[in-house]
Amino acid sequence: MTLPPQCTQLSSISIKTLRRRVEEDPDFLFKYIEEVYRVIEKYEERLRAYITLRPMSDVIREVENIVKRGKLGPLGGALVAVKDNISTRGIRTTCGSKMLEDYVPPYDATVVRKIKESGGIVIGKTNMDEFAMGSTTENSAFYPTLNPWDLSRVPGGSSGGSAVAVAACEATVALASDTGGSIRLPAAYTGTVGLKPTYGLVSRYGLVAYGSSLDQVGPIGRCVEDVAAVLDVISGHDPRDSTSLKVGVGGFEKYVVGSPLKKYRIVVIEEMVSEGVDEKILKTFNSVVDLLSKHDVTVEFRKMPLLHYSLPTYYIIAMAEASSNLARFDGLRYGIRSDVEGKLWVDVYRKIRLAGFGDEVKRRILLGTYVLSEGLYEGYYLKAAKVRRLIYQEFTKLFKDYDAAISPTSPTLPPRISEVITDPIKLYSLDIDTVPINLAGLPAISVPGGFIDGLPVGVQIFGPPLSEGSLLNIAKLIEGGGCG
Amino acid sequence: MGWEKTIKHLSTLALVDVDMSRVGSLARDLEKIVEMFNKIAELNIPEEVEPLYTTFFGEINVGEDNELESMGIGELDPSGKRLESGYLKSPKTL
Repeated sequence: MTLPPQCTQLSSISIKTLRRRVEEDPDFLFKYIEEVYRVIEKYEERLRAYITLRPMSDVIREVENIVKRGKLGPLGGALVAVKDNISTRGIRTTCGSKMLEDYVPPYDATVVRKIKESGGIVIGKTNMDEFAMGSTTENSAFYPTLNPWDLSRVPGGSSGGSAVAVAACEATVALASDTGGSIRLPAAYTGTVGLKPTYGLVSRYGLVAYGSSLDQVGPIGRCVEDVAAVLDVISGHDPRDSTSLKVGVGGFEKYVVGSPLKKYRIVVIEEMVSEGVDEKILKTFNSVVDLLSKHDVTVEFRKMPLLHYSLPTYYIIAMAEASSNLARFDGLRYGIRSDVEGKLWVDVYRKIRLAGFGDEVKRRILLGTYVLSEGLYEGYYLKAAKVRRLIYQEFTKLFKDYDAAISPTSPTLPPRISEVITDPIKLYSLDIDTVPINLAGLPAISVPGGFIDGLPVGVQIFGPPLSEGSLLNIAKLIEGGGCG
Repeated sequence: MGWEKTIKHLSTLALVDVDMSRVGSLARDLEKIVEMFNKIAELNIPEEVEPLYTTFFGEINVGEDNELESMGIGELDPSGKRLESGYLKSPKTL
């Protein structure tokens, strides 16, 4: 595990180590918390991973109460940074938007409730692209988050704040959401591990919806073992989420053993390693493939030409769903209030939404409306839904022959601040290797595969539904080393 | 229809006002994105292919309806600034 310069030995420990040390001496947890807050005090002003940070005194008070009860649970007092589109009772949840700047939810999302019940402590709410729409965290209405490896670069998005909080040791682990790569891309750009679960494995109750058929909540950690520990806690059936799978809870930690649990058959899809992929990224990726081959893992290459259409397919569907999901932000149900005296409803709505939404959100709402409008629906939305069916079928067929697939997480190194934000196509293209996975509802993990010029390179492993165990096992092989 | 006119129409449908001083750059962006969308027009998809709207194939959980206490008017407007004769003032409908 290679860490950026912000981390200290104490602030970078894993959940397992924290749990063990606290079992030996409960006071260790207070020392750990103080150290993490020292890191935050020193670096947060530049990095800006958080939108809302809980005061250390509040966190300490909460921990004292937990310690008094004498049961810390499997997360052992881990400090959990939560993306700001996941509801936290009593802590504002802005979605990175002016629209919800003062919104304080009256309830916890199921994932937050589970984290708390398992001995995790919410340390704060992390910065993100507004309503999770973006790939660099520059679309936050508050400020951009910077990459801890190189402050002139973006950390990826939309969960950039969560990834940076973990990478820079300003939290133990984080919760984030992934609609088209929003966990994996920032994980790749910050040298962390990010897992997007199978659609339905983790509850979406309390996650502010962007693209409901694509969104999933997942963990980000500094190592595979921490990600498995959080997935153990947050996965499982939730009757409050209508699309929650009826599957058993947890059991993922047993997969992070560091040796292959079986003779894996892994596929590289040629379209994911050809067009537009940086040569240096490919070199690192190939060295990971070589490493896997040494572990008695079979790696083969296959073509899937349909993936050329995954980017437009994804963006048509995501924007259509966003235009519907964001209709609730009208200043009446949710959102900023405005003077209504003598005005028409429609004028009030339009003004509030002009003032509350940023440019990228407005762009996506307008385009979502466009692809759903009469006369255009069949050529865009309906056709995209059909292409999605074909992509889903291709993956289903592929995973009859293979246990998992592997690709670079991103075709490029982290862009510099402002480098891609002004060109929507460049911005959207960062997601080219991550969006097909969401279209098919598959699980995927991004794990550091190496470094180029001091910047981390992420490798994505994905597989058939509910193959998270195998993905964690393969990711652990790639990660090598210990977990702090 | 030019993109600027389309944007005005979409803005009405989506109930989002657009800053008209920046409509030119918005039009250029939308045009580029729709050009990217148009790539799927190249694909010939057999008639019988069904659209896929979700990858969730389990049983949809539908919860029981629970009756809740209604919100008090004070919760809607704690400052009381938007109340008139005990009712919340709303915009006009006509």
